[in-house]
Amino acid sequence: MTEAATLFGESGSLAGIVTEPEPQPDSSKYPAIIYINPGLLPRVGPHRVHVKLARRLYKAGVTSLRFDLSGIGDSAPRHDRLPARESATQEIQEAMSYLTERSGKREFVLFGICSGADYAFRVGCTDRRVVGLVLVDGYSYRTLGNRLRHYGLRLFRRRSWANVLTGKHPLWKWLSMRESSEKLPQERPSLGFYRKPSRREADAGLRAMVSRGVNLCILHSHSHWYNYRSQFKHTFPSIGISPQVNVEYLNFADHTFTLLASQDALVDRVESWLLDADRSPRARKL
Amino acid sequence: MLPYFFGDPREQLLGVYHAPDNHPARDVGVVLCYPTGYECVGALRAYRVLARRLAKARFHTLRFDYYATGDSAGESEEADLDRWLSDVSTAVDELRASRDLPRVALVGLRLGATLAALVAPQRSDVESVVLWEPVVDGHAYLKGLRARHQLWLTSERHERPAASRHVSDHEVLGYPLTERLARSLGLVDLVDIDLPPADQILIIAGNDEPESNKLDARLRSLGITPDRLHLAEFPSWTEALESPQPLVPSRSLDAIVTWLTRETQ
Repeated sequence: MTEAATLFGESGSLAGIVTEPEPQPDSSKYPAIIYINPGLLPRVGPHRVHVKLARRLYKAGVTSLRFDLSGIGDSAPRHDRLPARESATQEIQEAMSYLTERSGKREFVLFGICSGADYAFRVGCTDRRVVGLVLVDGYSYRTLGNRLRHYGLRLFRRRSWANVLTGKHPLWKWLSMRESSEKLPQERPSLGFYRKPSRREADAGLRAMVSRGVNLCILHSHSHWYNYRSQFKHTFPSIGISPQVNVEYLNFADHTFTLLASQDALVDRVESWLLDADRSPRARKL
Repeated sequence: MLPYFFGDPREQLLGVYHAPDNHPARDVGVVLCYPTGYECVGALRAYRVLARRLAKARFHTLRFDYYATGDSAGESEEADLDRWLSDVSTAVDELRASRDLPRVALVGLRLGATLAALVAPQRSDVESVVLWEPVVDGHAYLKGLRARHQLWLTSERHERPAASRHVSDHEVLGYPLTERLARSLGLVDLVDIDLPPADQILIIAGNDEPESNKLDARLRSLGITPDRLHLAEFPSWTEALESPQPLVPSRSLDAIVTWLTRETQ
């Protein structure tokens, strides 16, 4: 296997690893994959899942680049005070240009977990070089089904009632915040580098990409925010049934894919999506 | 800063070299040995800052991923203590050969410190060693890892009942723990060493202060009086790992650089 360490980008200070297969008869049919940092985790991804996936796909002839955004892992911080989301967008585009120059790749799949999915979505919306996105634990919005499962399950849990009786239940905090007129949190608390768009904005972006021919692999672990198989379809009914959109739900996986079985499942699902001629970005080329 | 692969091309290790900021560079290189598994992720930022400060103090500095970790070759299932020991030696050889250095210092945190302590006495070119909260008793370390994993699993079973069906006996907090690795970790006992790792040793103690004291006593019995330092920012690294943000204990890193600068004059 050929893996090479590199520094690239406008400032020459973005650190990454290129996994470059030997030229194979049909390797040029696959777009290259770019892995984006989830939050502040380094380029190897949570528990090395980016490395595992890159090496698995290498065997099928897929070129990839896993790199650190500025200020994360081995990449130097920027000094231009550009907000993190803008610099991330710019640097992902620099990563695509770098792979074009190095390997002749012109079409890309962006792979992002959590804030990485946010960045991937934003670049995918505007950059036509992006032909596929793998969004892992990207945007999720609570639906009726989500709330019924979340609260319904808790009604029958002894621990929930014990928490209510001992004052530890979040309900009490909610009530005290309400009494003191503090602003109540509406959605997932946002870190500085992650801003969740409204459901309408996300829907518009996803629809625009699908109509442009971008293939999407949406994968969710189990959380309060995403807790049943059809939640994506119920959230985005207009694109949830599109053949270009592949939705996976791993009910046993946590957000950082801690269990080895969840890491394997993530790698398996993405591999089969990318290599499946009917569902993946490759289909566009056949 | 230069990331590059070194070692056997089929089993290459990813290193990141930090060149000295100013001339003349010191003739002692510093090899930084990461902790492993879940303890490593929270330490990476601190290591990067430490490497930069060492470079500013005119040290050639190399940090690297052991085989089957980070970006180095090997699947996570291939993690192996003997292999990691030989990786530390490979990294020392690499830094010395590439920068034409006669001597090196090793800095390790947790299991990284243990690897440094075990490799150093086998070589004649390691002048100083910094042992930051070393894993002194491998059996206790394993027990602690497994207990932490069980704690996580208990909460996981509550949050994600389906997870119970997918748990393997050979994993700990996101990383494989093969029987071979567990067996070799369980045999680690720094109190049992026959030779001191180096002439100059700095021990940074944390929660395992009694263990560090035992190591201290053993080193004294071998004729070496180690220097001691306590973290300025928090009681111990292992406790601080609970923090959701990457940690940079700045004053303690400065203390390491100052100690290395003094000891390698």
